[in-house]
Amino acid sequence: MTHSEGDMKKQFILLFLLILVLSSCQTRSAELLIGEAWARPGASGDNSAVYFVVDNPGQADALLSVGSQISGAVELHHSMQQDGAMVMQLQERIEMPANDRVELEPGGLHVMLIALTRDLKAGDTFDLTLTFARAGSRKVVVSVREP
Amino acid sequence: MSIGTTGLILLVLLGGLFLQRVDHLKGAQIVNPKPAPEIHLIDQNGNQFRLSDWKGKVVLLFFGYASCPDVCPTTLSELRRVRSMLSDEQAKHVQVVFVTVDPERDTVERIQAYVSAFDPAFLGLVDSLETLEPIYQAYGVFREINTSSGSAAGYLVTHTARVYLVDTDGNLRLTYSFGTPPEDIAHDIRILLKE
Repeated sequence: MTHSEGDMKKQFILLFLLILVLSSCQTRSAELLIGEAWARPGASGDNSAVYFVVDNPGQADALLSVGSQISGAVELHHSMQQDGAMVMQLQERIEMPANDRVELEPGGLHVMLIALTRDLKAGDTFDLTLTFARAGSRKVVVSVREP
Repeated sequence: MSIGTTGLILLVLLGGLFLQRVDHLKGAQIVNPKPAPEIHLIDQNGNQFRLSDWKGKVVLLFFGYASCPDVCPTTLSELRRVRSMLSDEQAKHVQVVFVTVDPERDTVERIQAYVSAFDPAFLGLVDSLETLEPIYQAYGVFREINTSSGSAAGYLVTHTARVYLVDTDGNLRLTYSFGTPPEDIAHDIRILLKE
């Protein structure tokens, strides 16, 4: 093996390692990022809502369902203006477009907590499990606070 | 241009600024305001409520329901913020009134627990659908029970989500669409309380 062949081999190995490092960075940065999740206070038996922001730096995904022990039922809903009135519609899924951000916020997309199993007071926290079509299950801790 | 002309132009410009500052209400103004349609219902303490008894105060009316998880609590939280932005003296002259659009489920007890969680000073009003319907009509409130939503919540109520402002003379004066910044409502109340 000549001197220059040895150098080329080293360069190939370095290039291979570089690609490996970069691709692993890419995988990590392409994960869904779920921003601070918060819920409104509410009394046991009443309804409440959870809001959060999802950043999707990777391929298109979709939020399929949400689960929690905090209420009898947990649903995805969308509040929207229709002919001057506010309509709330149950959502089968919430699309998470590639390289985009989806905000669940008051007066828009939200997670509806139906029949709270306990009082939710400002400062409390509870777990919520989000199930995505691609990313699978993700657990988030929800903080209860005033808006 | 003479000094006199320049002075006149300056006066007009300053006058325009002054007028704009005084008269610039942020809510949707009702042209030729008329007395607000009477509301005679039962409050969360079981007492009779008559809107016409509240002259001297600015009344902020909202039509919603206690099972509503998003739009109604968002609005009530914002109305609480409006009161907190005012001085104690100004806040004393503001009454928030929540009228149910879901008389089937909103009992006196339910509305009591619901509104007092936002602010004990808020009033929640209930009554039979028969008594409420003419009030919805008078205020142009759309209300529709949606039983086919597929939600475990039973049924949802589609409803108008505007805030109505009744001034200290009892006139229906302004309305605010959902999502109006609380700063804008507080701004208008400060102006109206000076009138």
